[in-house]
Amino acid sequence: MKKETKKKDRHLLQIEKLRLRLEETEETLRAIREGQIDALVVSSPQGEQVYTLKSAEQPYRVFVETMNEGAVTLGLDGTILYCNNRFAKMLEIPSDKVIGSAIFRFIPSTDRSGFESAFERGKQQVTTVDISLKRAGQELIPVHLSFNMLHGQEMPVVCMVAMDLTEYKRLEEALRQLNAGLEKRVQDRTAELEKANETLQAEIVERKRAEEELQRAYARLRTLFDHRIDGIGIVIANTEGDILEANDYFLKMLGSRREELKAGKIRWNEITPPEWTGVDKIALAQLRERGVADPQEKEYLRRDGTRVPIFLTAAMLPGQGNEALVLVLDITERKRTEAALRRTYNELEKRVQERTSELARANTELKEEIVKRERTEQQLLQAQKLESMGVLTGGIAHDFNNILGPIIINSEMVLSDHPEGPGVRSNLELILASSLRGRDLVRQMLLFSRKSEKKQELITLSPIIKETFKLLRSSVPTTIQMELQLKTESDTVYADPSQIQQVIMNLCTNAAYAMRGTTGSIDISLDNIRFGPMDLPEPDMQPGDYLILSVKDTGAGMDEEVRTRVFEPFFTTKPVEEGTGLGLSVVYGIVKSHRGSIKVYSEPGRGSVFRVYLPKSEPGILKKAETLKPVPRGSERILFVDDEELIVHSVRNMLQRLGYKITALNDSREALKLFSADPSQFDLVMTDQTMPFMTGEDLGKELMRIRSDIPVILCTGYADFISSEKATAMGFQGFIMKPFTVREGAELVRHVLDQKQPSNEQKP
Amino acid sequence: MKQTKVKDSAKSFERVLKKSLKEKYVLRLYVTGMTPRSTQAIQNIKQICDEELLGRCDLEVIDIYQRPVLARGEQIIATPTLVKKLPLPLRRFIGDLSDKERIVLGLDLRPKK
Repeated sequence: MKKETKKKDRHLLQIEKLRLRLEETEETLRAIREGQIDALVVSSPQGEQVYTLKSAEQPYRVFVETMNEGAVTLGLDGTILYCNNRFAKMLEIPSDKVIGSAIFRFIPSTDRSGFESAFERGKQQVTTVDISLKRAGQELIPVHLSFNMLHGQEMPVVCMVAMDLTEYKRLEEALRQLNAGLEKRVQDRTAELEKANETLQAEIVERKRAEEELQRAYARLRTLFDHRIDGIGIVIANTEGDILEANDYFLKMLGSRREELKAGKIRWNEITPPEWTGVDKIALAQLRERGVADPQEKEYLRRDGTRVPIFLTAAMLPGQGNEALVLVLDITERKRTEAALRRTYNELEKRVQERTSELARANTELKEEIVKRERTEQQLLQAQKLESMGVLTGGIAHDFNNILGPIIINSEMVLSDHPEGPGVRSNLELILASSLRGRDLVRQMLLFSRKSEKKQELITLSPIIKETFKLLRSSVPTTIQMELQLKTESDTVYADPSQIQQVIMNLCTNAAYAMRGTTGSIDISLDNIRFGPMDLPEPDMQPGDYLILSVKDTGAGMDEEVRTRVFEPFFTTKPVEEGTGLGLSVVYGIVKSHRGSIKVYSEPGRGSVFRVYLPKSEPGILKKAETLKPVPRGSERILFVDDEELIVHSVRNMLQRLGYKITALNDSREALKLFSADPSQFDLVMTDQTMPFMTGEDLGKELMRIRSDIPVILCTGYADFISSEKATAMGFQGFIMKPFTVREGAELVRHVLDQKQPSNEQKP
Repeated sequence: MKQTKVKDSAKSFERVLKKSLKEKYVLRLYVTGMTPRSTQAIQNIKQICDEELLGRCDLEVIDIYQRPVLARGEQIIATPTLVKKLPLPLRRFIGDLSDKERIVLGLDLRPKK
């Protein structure tokens, strides 16, 4: 039974399964009938085949026609079997012109091989390729192509989908550019950041360095105040006077203790003496204005009341309000050294000044010396010029003397022969006077050239000056005042009185001439002066005491040219008939022969001053004036020699008249011969000096050699080679300048004979 | 819409309800691309799942163009076809599933009358 039941249940279950399958089948049939399906799946040896109902294709068709890609079905040979509108639009060719064409027509040659390769592979598997399609207008458009073989068809075809990449490429380019821009911006920004980073790094390093520097600075600053630094006071103070920090040395300088500092008992304005507060004010102003005060020197008051000189410099501490760092140096020792140096300096300065003034003095002296030398040179030149003129003058004088000598002697003799007879005598006297004037003129010339025989002796000047003054006063017009000032009484000179008189006469005559036709004055004075070696008016003068004979007038004066030439012989400003040009040259010659000097000071319109300097002599036995005696005579045997026949003749006559036995010759050789024949036949020989063949000097010497006691008188008209002294030294008994008067000749002959042969003397 | 046989008893109703509330459904819908019935079927089953099988429906839609091999195993002869794989017994529904009442009954989501 149970078995039956089980069997029944099994059958029921099978019935139920069948019922369900039936139901399913019925439902399937109903759904197909009612069109609730759109595809049937048929199993075949090639696999499951899906057959779509026609109505079901519509969405696909619409989908394909409206999609954005080009859809193409290609035959295996590349013929276009179908294309959607989108593909035709891509090519810009109507679709009916596209379908049936070979796809290769729209492929540019450059892409042909790539296309063919992808097309062939697309027959096996899904393949893609990016190439270009060629439009109707040859324009190229980039496309992405995908190929796929379409199976299940009666005829195998290849599906190709073309995606227009134009926009994509544009976007890609835009993106690329954007990317490039972005890349650049990124690079720029990166560079900026790197730079910023570097700056930051540098800043960090700098900050670290600054921090380290700050720490070192702080350490250094602490060192300043750790009480060990010696030799300089270091202080931090504010501008109010408080000292906030100070090292030990500063306290030591002030003689104070640290406790006092801590208690605020040391204030810088209180340890500064009142007279230095001005300096502090300036320093404070500088600190406020520029943060640093100029170094200054002042003093501090020490605790014990003494003062310490200090050198101080200060600078404001940055960021510390009114606080400043002050360095203080004790300069006591320096001040001491300075004082010593100053003393030394002053001494040196004094010595330098002294030395400078010495040098200045020496310089002045040197300058004066130079001026003097220049003057001397000029004077020397002038002297040489005068000297040469003197030589010339001397030669002329000699000839004149030889002419005048016979005239004078013979005139005198004729006059003595004819004491009566007015006509003849007056004429003869005129001849004699003129001859004597001529002789005087020659003598003046010789005086100038200093070739005349000197007759100098010790005399006092005052009497001669007084006598000459009187003489002048009577001859100078009364319109001219004359004054005489004898300022000295010691007026002894070794001089020829007549020459001195001549000097005064000549100077005063010139002075009077300078004031002719007008009023004026002539001042004659005599004074003493002493010349040292440096202040001699002439270089050839000797230092010593001199007498100054000064003649000053208020006349016309002289200009420079005239003044330098006044002493030249024959130089005159007078008309021809008024002057010879010898006056001042004679004066010059006389003064020089007296070892003196003459100076002239003159300016046009301001008168002239002539100063004659004569060397003073000690007073001795002064010569007294002699009274005139008769011409002396004699009877001795005299030999006279002169080469001038006229002179021989004249002198022979003159001596014969005086009673002498005379042998007169004009040849010195003949005279020697005669004398040699009998040396004792003469008592006296007179010989001229300048003779041909044998000079008077040589003749005299020869005669004296033959007979040593024979007195010989040397005559000369030209004293250049011989003088009285020389003649005496050579053994001559007498010396006479020609021309001489009868008296002069007679007196000398008598004098010589009387000296040497008193026994033979015969009085006339 | 076609009427299905349902046992009219409170007891079986409660049992089915209880069962349907806790059982997981594995459903497979076979379609052919975007043909009109297929797309309609997808929409209908989606609605049923949302309304009746909230949270316990594992629905898989298979395009037999894309996966033709699967159609053979399931003995699919037309599309769209819905296959209830679980819970057993296996059941097939042909068509666009527009008769919602019939489908709900066929899926044993409601007791049969």
